[in-house]
Amino acid sequence: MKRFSILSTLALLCVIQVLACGPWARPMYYVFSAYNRQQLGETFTPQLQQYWVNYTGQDDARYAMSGLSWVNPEEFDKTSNIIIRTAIERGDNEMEQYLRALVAYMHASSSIDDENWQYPTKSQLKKQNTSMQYLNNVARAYKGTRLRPQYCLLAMRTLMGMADTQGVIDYWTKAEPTLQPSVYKEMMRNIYAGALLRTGKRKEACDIYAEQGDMLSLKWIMREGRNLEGITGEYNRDPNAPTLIYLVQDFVNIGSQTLRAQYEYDWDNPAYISASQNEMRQFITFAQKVVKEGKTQVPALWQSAAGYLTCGLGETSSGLSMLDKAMKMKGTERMLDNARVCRWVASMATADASTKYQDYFLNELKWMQTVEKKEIETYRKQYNSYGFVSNHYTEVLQNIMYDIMPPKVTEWGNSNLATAMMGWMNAHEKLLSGTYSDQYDEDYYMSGDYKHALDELTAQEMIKYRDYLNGKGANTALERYLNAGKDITMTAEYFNDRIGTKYIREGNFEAAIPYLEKVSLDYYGKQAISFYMSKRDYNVDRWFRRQVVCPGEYWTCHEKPSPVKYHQKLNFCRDMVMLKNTIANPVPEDDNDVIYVPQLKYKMASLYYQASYKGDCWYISRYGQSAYDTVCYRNEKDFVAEAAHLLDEALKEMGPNDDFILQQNLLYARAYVPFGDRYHTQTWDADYNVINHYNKQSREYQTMADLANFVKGNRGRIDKKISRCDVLNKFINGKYTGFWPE
Amino acid sequence: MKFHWSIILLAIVLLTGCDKRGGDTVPDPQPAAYFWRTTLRFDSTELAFLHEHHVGKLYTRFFDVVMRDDKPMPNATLRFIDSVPKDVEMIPVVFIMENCLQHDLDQYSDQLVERVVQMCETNDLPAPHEIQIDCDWTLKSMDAYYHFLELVGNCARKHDMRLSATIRLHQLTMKAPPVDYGVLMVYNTGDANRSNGRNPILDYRDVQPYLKYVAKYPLPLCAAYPTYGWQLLYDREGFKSILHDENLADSTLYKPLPVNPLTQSQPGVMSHGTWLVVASRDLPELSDDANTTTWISPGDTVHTWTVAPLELLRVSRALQHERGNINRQVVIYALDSKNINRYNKEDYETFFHP
Repeated sequence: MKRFSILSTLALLCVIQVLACGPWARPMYYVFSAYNRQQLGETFTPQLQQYWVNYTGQDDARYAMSGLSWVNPEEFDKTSNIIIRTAIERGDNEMEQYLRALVAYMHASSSIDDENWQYPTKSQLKKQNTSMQYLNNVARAYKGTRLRPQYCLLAMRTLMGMADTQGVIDYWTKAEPTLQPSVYKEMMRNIYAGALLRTGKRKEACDIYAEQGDMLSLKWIMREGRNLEGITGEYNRDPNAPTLIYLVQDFVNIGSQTLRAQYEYDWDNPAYISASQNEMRQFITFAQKVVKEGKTQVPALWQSAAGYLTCGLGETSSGLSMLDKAMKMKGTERMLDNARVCRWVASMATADASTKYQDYFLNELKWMQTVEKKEIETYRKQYNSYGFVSNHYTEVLQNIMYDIMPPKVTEWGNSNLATAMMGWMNAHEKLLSGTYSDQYDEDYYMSGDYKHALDELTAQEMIKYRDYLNGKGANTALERYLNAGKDITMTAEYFNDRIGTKYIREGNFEAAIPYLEKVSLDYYGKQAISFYMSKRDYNVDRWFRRQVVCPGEYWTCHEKPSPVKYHQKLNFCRDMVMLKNTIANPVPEDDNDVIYVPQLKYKMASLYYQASYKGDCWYISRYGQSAYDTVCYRNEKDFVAEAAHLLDEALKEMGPNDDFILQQNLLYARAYVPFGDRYHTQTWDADYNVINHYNKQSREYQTMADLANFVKGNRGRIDKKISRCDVLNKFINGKYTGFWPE
Repeated sequence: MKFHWSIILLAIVLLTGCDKRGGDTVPDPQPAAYFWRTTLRFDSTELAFLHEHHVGKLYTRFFDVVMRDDKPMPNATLRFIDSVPKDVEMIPVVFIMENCLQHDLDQYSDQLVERVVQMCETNDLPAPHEIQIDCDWTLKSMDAYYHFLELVGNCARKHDMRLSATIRLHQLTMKAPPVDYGVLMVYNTGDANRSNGRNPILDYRDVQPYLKYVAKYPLPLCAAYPTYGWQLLYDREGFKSILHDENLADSTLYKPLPVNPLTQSQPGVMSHGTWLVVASRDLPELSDDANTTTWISPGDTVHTWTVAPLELLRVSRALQHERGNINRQVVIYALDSKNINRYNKEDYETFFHP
């Protein structure tokens, strides 16, 4: 019987989607956002796509645009690409000629691949160069006006294709003043920036990247200048250099992260204070000087940066008044919005429970949703997207509602409001992503923070929270607002199941029953845990049989919700109550009944173990399981410990000639249940070499020894399911190296 | 006259004696260097170095072979901007990721050689006389690798090329690969993951266990020694990543820490420094993936390592003691002005002629 070892391996592998006790970590997003984070490719692509959609009158032109690069120039007339087809069918010769040139350029560009086994030959390179030169001539020869921007772009692309950086610079210098603003002009400018970079004009290139929002290029090129020295250098070069916006934003966000990390780890370390914090203070002084000098066209940016960092350094009051001023200064609309967001976030450091603060918070929460909506609509329009759109304002809201405010509000003594904030945000996310009406499994679709917070509540706290959401104790305008936006999928049945399960977890089975009685089988059938609930039975002794639900490899196992046939949680509670009462008062109902307490204790131990985090029927007491789980909830009763104690008691209470089968089962179960100190432990030395320790006084060794002695003393009588156990036989043969997991 | 001949005779005896242990020497031994960047471009320091130290061979990484779309494919192919000085022979090197050896490589041996030849032709380089393969093979992948080397060797001979291979210290314990000669990589001898006070680039104590294999290794051997430095980033959990030329003098980001007593007691042998990270920063990495960044946070530490000249010589002489001709050709890893400036001219002369 290889059961012990095989099953313990399976136990490690078989994990439902969520870890019951796992930590939930989410990054703290950057708060300071002076300009959109759109990246280069995305900045141009939507506009180009829109051009072709307008030209063809078909939405599919978005995809046909990228398809142009796959068209073989020799099969141009036969292609089904709708952009080309439209031009041909309309008899739009001018456009057709341009598309021929564009397709030829794309073909020539991709004809040579440096990372292929066939390294380009000289003649191929020459051919490519000839093609580029020819297309450059074609582009320059265009004398019309309608497609001039496109042809100008083609001219620059072909020059770049020939690695003629000076040619690119010259062409741009000549063409730039004659071109109207357009996406093509911006793309030309981006090529020009690349040429500048290659000719050593780094800062000029950076200004263009900054204006175009090409953060990745900026970060790489400015990697040495992401500090006060870099900022002052840029400012002295040009007080309105576009690169400054990037550098200031980067300095503030990185600085805030530094302060947070220092606060979390080692706030008083003089090394941190003398270096990085001093630099921040010097930046604040410099930013105020910039505002005073009046050379910058965007004082709001500098003032808000100084204000936000001042708050970060712990001087909230003066930082907030700086931010108040920033909101009234000159700057782009986004910079002013940014100042307001920063002011709101910074205010939370000294937030109190007063109605005044709560009203301010509510006002900003409502305003934030308007800028968030605007941002999302812009993205959706630009990218023709309908689903959830990742955006700066939603991320800041997530930080506020999940990370910053709940601990603060809990300090106010209003833990219900803290949880409700997460609940509102969770519902808000569902609204944004369009999954609100999904009834599949509320637990599954709930975001980690809120789910984790709810999971953490005790049964009593959950009852109070349910009542709070229903209006009891929600007194302020903020509380009422958040409650109005609560998650409507959290029905009465949801709460009944949660409260009942929490009571089970706490070992209060009587209290769980009235709640669980109100939960339907249909409800459980939609839960993720139903996959296991429908296939397992808590009456099976876990130590004798593992109830496998995924016969193949664990990753082939799709944990789909399945209909459940009976109410396991409720039945379990009723069984436990009956066992508990009978053990406490072992009086038979009539003379024919015989109550044998050790047998009942064995049964109760078996049920406890099955419903524990180690058991097959863990879904009775929690909503997810992993091999690394442990007792992790407040008020949680350690079911494994309960099982071990009951087994010990039962064994002690048995007479030497009592039920032989029960005695062997008890001894086997005691050796199986991992409770108490282990036989084999490991430590590591300074060089990470493993040091093994073996302890024969441990409970693990002793329970195994009790079982082994019993088996040796009763050979021939022992049940095969015990006598064939590989672990036991290893022990008997002196080869035991430990079995209990960590 | 009689006296004269006796001197010559004595010299022959001595030279023969020197070469007695450790088999043949590598062909045409000369001071040499590896070039391991992705763009072939030299600055004035590098050109001067090649000239000054009479470097005759430049082992140049042409491309890597990595698994892409489940196939072994060329990657990070060298871009040719400058040409190698006329009196320097360029020896193409191809690095093969070990996981490629799990794939049937038979069809790629010809392609690899043809690609190297084509690269030279396209970029107006002289036809190479040699090709070198670099791979961190293990006992598990050895058979597949040696089979591949045989095929590459066959193809290389058709183009009148020799075949050489890099040999790591641990590979000395295995049978020799089927190549004309090997370059023993005497660097990366330690483990960056283990903070045992040893220099992970080169520490005599890590080389010492392999010395016994050097003398009898059945392949002509020369040695390659490190002149590079490392900046290793650690967090509370241990090793995090290698930093690329971080400016550790930036006091807003790094603060030097007192030298660890474990590593300070050997002046001239250990070149080690430790910096405390005092602020957060996302450092963009040199990578094809522009989104790759390394995060540094307050409390992280940066350990800098370089090999002190005395330690390098100690190892070099120990190897020479075991195998008299191993330093007849010394290859430095790698040609780069930063590395050149790390040591003075005399140091390099001693490295090349220990």
